[in-house]
Amino acid sequence: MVADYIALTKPRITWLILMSTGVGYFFGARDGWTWTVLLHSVIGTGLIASGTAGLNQWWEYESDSKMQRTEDRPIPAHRISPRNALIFATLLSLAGFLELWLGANPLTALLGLFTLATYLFIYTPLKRVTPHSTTLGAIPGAMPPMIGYAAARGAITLEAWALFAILFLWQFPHFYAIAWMYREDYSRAGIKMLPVVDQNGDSTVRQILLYSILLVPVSMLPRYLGMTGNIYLAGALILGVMYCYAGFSIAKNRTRMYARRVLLASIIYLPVLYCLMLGDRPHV
Amino acid sequence: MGNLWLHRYAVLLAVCTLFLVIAGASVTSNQAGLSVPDWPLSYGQVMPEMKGGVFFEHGHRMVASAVGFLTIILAIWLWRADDRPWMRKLGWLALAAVILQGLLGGLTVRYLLPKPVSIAHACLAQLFFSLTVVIAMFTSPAWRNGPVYVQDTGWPSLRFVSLLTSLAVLAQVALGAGFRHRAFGVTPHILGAMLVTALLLLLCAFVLTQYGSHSILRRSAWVLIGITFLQVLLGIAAYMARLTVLNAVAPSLAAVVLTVFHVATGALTMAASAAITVQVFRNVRSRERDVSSPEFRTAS
Repeated sequence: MVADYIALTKPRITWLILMSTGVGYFFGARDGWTWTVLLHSVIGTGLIASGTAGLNQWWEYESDSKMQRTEDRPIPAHRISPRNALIFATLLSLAGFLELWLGANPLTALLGLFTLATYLFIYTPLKRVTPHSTTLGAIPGAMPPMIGYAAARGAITLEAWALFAILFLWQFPHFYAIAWMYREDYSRAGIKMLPVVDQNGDSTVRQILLYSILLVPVSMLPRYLGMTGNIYLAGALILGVMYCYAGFSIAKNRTRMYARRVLLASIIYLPVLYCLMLGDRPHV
Repeated sequence: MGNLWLHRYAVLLAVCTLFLVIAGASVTSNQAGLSVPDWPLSYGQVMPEMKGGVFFEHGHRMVASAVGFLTIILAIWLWRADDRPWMRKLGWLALAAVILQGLLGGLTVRYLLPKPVSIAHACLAQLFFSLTVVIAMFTSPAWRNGPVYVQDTGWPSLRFVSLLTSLAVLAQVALGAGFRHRAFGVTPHILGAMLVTALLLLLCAFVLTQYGSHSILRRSAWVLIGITFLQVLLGIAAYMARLTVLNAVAPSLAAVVLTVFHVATGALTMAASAAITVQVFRNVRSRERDVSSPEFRTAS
């Protein structure tokens, strides 16, 4: 039972979100940081992210039951009732909002609320309407480092926007690769992801190339803004070439195997980039 | 329509124009813009003593005059020998551009290097070079062999990306000219370089991954990739050379040479992006409009 409620919070994704939040926090707290604010930020963001994941699963449990990838989730598998899931997820979200408001600052709490609202009320319903939902969904998806930054600094600066831009662009190849791998599943559930509606894959591979190539100059922004040093710059370039190469490969060979490679490249890219960022800060 | 000598002449004009771009860039890089204070004559003479900055400024005027003369011949030749009305118009357009360019150059001298005029002069130089390159392309035997149509079903469309890239390269040229003429700092040019490089590589990636069997498009893409990498390397090298002599009164020889070649390769980048854009518009058709056309055939 406890495991099902934990599964409702999508812990792996929440972990990734917290990692991004932490990176944002450390750049926002350049002039000094405190454990208490960091802890409140991480707990608050974790709660609100878990609540959003739960609310998302409550909203989509019918379509989840039509997809092999998601049919074993707690609500479609009838291990948690929709009503209980709704109550649980709402309480988590509310607790997260209050935690961010009281433990960090009101700006951070409002950014958290914005993330929840755009994810649930814009991205989620639009998934069945248009493939452009991915673009809109990438906005809440890129908010975690901004939330972390705001928690430390109490304001949003160019540095926060640079972190936002990196995560925003990174998501497209990542999610298009997943959607490519599970396109039949998505199609059954009526979710209009780009690889579902783009039968020959021409547009999907162009989007993957577009965002992976754009990510290269954007990933240099932290160096340009003085947030990182040259080790980061070199590492970001190498990672960018790797990510672009994966995109180039799937453009040439449109198979599930190459989609998996893009996914793998994306999974390697972000944590390594964050490690380089944190490890090569000139002000530390 | 076929006239090999006309094509060879157009190629000669393009080569001479590139040399003119190099001569013009040498004037700015050697800070010789006001070495000759009058225009159209130089110190009231047709041929002044070529010493100091006069060598660069008057040399630039001499090369410009030669290119202007060659352009007059090209316009007349196209008017007489080319049966395509749009090509004849293109010849006159080239002539109008080179005359306007000469006037802008004169205004730059007469009004002591006003920044907007100097920047416009630099941008039109690169536009004119691109025009000579596409005229050479239009008069080539390969062009006359006709297009090989391919279908485009992707989004964003190749036509849109190629056009956007060419416009971005032009904007980047303007940012570079603005920096060289001290209208603003180097930051916009560096940020622009990152974005434009990404767009150029994106365009080439689209072409190579989806139309790799189309020989014209593939060749155009590889040429563009080669020039882009050279341009990025020259840009970095020119910037580093400039940093090392930041407080010097006169620029170092290395900084001058690297900057001049960076400007010239910028012109090549713009011409190559214009050429690939023209080829995309000629060869790549959208499915909705052209798939039922009897002329449609795939490149492979």
